[in-house]
Amino acid sequence: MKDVPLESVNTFIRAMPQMAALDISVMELSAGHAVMRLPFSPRLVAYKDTGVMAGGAIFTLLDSVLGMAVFTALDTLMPVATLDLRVDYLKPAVTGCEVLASARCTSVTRTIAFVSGVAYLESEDDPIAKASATFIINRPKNEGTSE
Amino acid sequence: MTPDLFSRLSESGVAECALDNIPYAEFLGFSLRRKGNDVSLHLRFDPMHVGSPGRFHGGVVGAVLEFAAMAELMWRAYQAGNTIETLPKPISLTVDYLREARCIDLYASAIIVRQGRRVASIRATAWQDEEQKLPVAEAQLHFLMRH
Repeated sequence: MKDVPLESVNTFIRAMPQMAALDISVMELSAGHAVMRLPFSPRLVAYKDTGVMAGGAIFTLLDSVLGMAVFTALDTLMPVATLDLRVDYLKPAVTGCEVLASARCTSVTRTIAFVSGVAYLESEDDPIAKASATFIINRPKNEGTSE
Repeated sequence: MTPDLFSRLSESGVAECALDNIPYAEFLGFSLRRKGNDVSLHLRFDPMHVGSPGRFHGGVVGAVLEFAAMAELMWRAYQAGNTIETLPKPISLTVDYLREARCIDLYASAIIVRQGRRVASIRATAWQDEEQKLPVAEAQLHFLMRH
């Protein structure tokens, strides 16, 4: 994908209602790589005793960042859809803390993109969750078939 | 998902209760339905659930499957007289996205494949058609059981 200013990518993201509702934004973007941020919100808490955010919110952040990493690995903007996504919850988030997530698209074929990533609080080296996914790429039908 | 919620749901004539004691569940709009001895999760469609135009964000589908699995675990424990006070902790969640989740209500239910003392293994299915023949997504989940 050609260089696109972060601001326009965030405008694109905000147009997706669930991303806007969770206030997810893009922090970094390069070919095959993306970093996103999910701010803490009391509405996303699942465990009232500890104030820890729901696994579902982290899952949504990871699905989003993995999808974005796939977009950046493609030459042109094409619709993609999650085929499968596995998330391992390594440890709970900390109440009041924002969660970051980074993803790398490791391999792209004509139809499928393979991508993995982590969610973390401070450092990517100390993740709270890790994710691995495949996405299906919906290329336009008239596109050349060079594999 | 408190014992109080389950006892309300057990009363004859009560078919559906909102999950109003969990902020994230309330934020997305989850409620729990009972049909005979079985429970399922119901998510009334709201425009804020949308990711790409015309369909649910994959993260919301994941969250629905995760809560359906937690509900099944807690409901079966309640019925057996071993009430679980806090939400079971997810260890891992693997989602297969099978069909586009359209902008209508989404349902999910789960079965316990195996429950050991420490870990439970669950399968969950999400659907949107009355006959439950066209799943939009399926998941395999593991939970840590806390005592």
